[in-house]
Amino acid sequence: MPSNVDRAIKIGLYALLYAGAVALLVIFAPGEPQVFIYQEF
Amino acid sequence: MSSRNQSHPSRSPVTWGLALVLLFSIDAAITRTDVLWGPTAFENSGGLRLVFPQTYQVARKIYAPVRDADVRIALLGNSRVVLALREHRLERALARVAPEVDAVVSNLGIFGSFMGETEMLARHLEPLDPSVVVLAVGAPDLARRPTHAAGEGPMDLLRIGWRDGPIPAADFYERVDRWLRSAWPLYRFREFAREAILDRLLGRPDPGPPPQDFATRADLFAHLYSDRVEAVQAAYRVWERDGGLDAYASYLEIAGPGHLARRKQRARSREPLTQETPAVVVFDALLARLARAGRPTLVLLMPENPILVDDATGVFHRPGLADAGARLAQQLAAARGIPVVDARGWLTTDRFLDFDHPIFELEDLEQRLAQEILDALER
Repeated sequence: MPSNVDRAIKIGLYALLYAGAVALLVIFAPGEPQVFIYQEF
Repeated sequence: MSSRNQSHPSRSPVTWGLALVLLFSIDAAITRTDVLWGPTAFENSGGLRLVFPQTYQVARKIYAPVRDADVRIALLGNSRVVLALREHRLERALARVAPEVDAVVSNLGIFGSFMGETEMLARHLEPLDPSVVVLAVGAPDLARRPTHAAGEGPMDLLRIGWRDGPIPAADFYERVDRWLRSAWPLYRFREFAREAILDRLLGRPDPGPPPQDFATRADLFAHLYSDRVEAVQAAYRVWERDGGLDAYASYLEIAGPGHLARRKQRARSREPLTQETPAVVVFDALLARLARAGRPTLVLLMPENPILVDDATGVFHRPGLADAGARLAQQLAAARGIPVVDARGWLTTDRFLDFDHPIFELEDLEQRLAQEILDALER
């Protein structure tokens, strides 16, 4: 039983690591240019 | 299953499945909450002309509206609709005309939007589910190119769609980007999420939102032309005193040299304006999209500066283009049963900032438009 709990915790931590890594990568990876300056006036 | 046969936790399918569930949860915790849509410093930084914050604010109005109402009115267009129509003022005008109608106005205009950018924004309307869409258009929108180059336009960050539509993706990568933005909210809003999260983590100073109303034209000028306001004000006074196109052009030489240069450049264009003109094709596709979605729509032919009548030789505009554009818009709208409000002659020159842009505080425009919107609702 303790080994199952240990495994469940590890699975949870790895899953969180993967999900967090993907989210961080999506948010902070270099993206599109953000600066469009309107110059009509 | 014995522990010997179990895969390592890092490679277990259960781990990947759980990671996917967690990713959806993280996505929702960001894109459906104030983490992304709460007040930010970046939207108030960078000045009026930086369009990135404006695109973000428009996305917020669609995906996280502050207020719901029985009647939701969406205004689509570019800088002319941004400058001419204030949401709270149009709501007040609607309340005056029909106090029993609970209406909320979302001005979704974005500076620099060409027809293609407006068509792209219309793809996002589902979450807002507007009761009426007011599509503001003028002949210049139909005559110029249909969209900005990839990587340059104000709608670059909100490109979605499973199919190309009238504005095809520039290449395979942009097409995949559109698909990902369509399917995955966190990816769609990633540039905005980045700034919002950095704001909250770094505690960046927030200069606060710009003023919504201006008591006088001098206040408006001070806001728009802080570095050269006195010269602009003086030139404008000369036009008020002397009148005439030359004095108006001299005022614009100081207030908006970029605007003036573009007007002269566009006036030299001899491109025909027909149903085959690319921006007209996009306009028609936009009408078709709105009609297909069953959204009551009103095409608003935007007010035009009457001083251009004095420009008989066509230095600052193409004589006849406005009428040709209006005829085309009316034809295409009529073919789809969409009513057109012709507001081209509604305003005098003193209600404009330049040749193109009506300014704020236009009670006459708001009052008349409110009535037209209510009429469209009754249809």
